[in-house]
Amino acid sequence: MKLLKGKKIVILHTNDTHSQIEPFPANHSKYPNLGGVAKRAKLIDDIRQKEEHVLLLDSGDIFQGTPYFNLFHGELEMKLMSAMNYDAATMGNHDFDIGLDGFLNAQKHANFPFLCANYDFSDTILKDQTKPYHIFRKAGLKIGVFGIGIKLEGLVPSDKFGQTKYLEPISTANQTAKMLHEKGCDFIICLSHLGYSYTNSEKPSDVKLASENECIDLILGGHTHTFMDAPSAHKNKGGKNTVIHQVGYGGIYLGQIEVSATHVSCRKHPIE
Amino acid sequence: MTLRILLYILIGASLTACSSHLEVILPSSGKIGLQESNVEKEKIAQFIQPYKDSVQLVMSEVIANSDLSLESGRPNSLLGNWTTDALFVHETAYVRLSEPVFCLLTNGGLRSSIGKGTVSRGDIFRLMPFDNEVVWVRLPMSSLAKIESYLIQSGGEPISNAKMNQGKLSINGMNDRSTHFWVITSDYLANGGDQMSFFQDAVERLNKKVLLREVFIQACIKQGTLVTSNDKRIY
Repeated sequence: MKLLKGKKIVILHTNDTHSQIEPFPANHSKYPNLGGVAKRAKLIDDIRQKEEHVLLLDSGDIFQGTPYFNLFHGELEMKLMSAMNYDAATMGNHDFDIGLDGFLNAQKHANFPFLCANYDFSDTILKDQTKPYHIFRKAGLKIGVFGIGIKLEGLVPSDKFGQTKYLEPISTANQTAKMLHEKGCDFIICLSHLGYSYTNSEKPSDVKLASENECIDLILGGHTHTFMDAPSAHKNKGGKNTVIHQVGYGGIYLGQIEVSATHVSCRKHPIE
Repeated sequence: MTLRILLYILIGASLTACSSHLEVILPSSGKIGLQESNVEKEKIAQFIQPYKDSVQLVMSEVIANSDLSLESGRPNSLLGNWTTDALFVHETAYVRLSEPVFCLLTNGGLRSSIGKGTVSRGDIFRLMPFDNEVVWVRLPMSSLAKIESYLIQSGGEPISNAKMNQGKLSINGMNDRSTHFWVITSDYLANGGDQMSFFQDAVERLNKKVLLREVFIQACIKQGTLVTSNDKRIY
């Protein structure tokens, strides 16, 4: 089966929702009455009604920011994301805030996978609880999605992440993307919690990853709470574009990226 | 021969170009705002409701009164003084101090003001939404200058049991024989958050496993009417 010309895959995404279950309060200085999970759920439903091929993804920092998190320890966030049929998420630094055991307890309420390619949990209680990547089949195409997290040391107290091993993000992302490419993925998405960009250009960021990878098509970012006016395209090492998008924080926006087929006739990896 | 190589290169190039058959449609905007006018999904709203009710029940509990409105600010502020004093009292009330000790927080870490009138548990959650824990850090005297330059550069942060006069920080109990001092702060700052790199000089650290927010809540309950200080600590 081939994706016919003109057909499209709609990728919906959030980042840094930070336990913002209700809309921001009416007296909020910047975002009065904006956001809210019940409204996001309706918007997602409406889009799914219209679009055949939808992926719903989150780039981490689901936890922390409102008393809902302090009282229910992430359970509600996971239940709601499951009810909205999220397809996958990655972990942000705040998702370690109640420790690995706290995350594990909350994750029991999630019906979608957490994708973490550069956190090695093999010596922790999260062993086998997350996956580096997942391949989705949409419209007969293989969409490879993997997660890349930020360095925890100095950002998260060490007793919260325990024996988690941190793998260098850029090289891990490249290896994972290459592997997904070799597995025949037609489109490769990185869920990143590295942050959009930094004044210290050496620090791993989405912009750095975009220019230093070979086959990532789309980076859905987080961490820096960047409200991008529009997705940005960056020339990667493979001479193609890697597109970055991030939608601020608190669920004020739902990101929507559309992917369409162009040169279907001469594609490299035919799918039976 | 040369022609043949060129041909291979051309074929290779065309194959590579063809392989990128899926592309992102770059829109002028890739996001949809969730406005006040957006409709809720009824089923989700109903699911949230009992959670919302219990949050409201816990958060609306009045735990103190305040005669004044407490705001953060630089170099000194009522809110900065109240929070660091509450922390200092909580941590040192039953401790004999053998070395100089002071509290240091940041204006950036105080996420909301405390309004005049009733103070609810929710007000303190808004003030301190993060689960930061209390930490004691022991530093050599040589670190004092780094803290001074940090405070000068930032324009002042909340401190208790210390004063800074014209860029010189003096902690109560500090004298010529002092070799070290302690800073009571949050784990976030002690880990170098908000560029507090001077905490890297730590020679000892005590993680108190107490939430900063809980310290403030206990102070509210204990004080009944908030005991405020408009001391000028940094001048």
